[in-house]
Amino acid sequence: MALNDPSERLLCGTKLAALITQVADGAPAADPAHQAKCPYCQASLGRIRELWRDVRALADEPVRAPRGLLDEVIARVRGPVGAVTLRDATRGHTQVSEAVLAGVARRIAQAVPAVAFASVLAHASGPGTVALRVRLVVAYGPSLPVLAGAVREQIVTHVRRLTDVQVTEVEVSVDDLAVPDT
Amino acid sequence: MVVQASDRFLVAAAQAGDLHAFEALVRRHQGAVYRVALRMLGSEVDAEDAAQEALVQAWRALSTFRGESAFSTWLYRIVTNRCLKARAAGHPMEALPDVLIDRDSDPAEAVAQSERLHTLARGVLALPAEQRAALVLRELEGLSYEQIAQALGVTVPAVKGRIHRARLGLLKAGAAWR
Repeated sequence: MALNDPSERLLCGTKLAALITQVADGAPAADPAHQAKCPYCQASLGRIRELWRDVRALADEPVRAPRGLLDEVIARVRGPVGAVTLRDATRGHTQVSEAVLAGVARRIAQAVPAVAFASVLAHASGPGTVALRVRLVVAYGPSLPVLAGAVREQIVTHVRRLTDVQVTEVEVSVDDLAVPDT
Repeated sequence: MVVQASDRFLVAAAQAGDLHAFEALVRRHQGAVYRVALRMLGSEVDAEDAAQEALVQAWRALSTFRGESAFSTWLYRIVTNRCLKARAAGHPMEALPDVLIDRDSDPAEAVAQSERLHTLARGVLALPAEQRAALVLRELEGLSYEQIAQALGVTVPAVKGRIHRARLGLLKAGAAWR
């Protein structure tokens, strides 16, 4: 008899695979009356249960992703990004990358109450100017047009204040509702 | 930081080019990706390599993800394939990491359990690769048969067959060490 043959049977005729499924997947016993009295079934079930306690313990082991995995991945996938050149160039030019502008705008958006998460893409639209595309996850409650307007206004004001870049356009879409923490 | 955004939202944002949204996805799923790689490959170094390659590949292939399965299932598929290839290429198998000991329990029993789990993890590694992949996704990651079928690109009956054989194999190996 092949060692890994799923049709393998105990001496009483019960399929070993059926007993394993019973323990591992919580399937009902095929013949509970026989099983309760059969020493072969009981012995096999005992062994399988013992092994599966260990399988579940192994599954429950806390395995964490190594520190640095996230940073390595992001560093490898970050492509070339454009930049906005600031107009005030009295003693040399200053450039701010689109990624930085997107990050600044994201933080500003996420500071607006009821904004749970913001995704921002930034595109240089000319010297000293940027156009932004903002996608929001928001909490249920506030008026969405009012909220979108507030996000737009905050971004335009504070991106200008923090970076001296003028925001020429803020496309805002509300794409999802936040799932409350449970 | 708990990101209050669904995978669906983050995937759409990442597909539009937002790397920060992809970062949130990686932060959320890197544990599962690494766990699968570790159980599939057995060495922490190989697992980290495979996890990194899988996540980079996920970013590059993101435009091909159409949301037909859960994003997590799609990631399982990528990392499992990566591990199957790594093993097929004949990477050496290194020592298994030490199993953590539960400090609340009886020390003697904890040591005994730690040794049993170590042997069990070794038994998982000794399974044929395709059986091992199915078993890891089922018993250690808790996926349904349907999800495993999607992740492995095979039918549900094929998944069931592999898992049956893998479980039998573990049981036989277990009988030898007990």
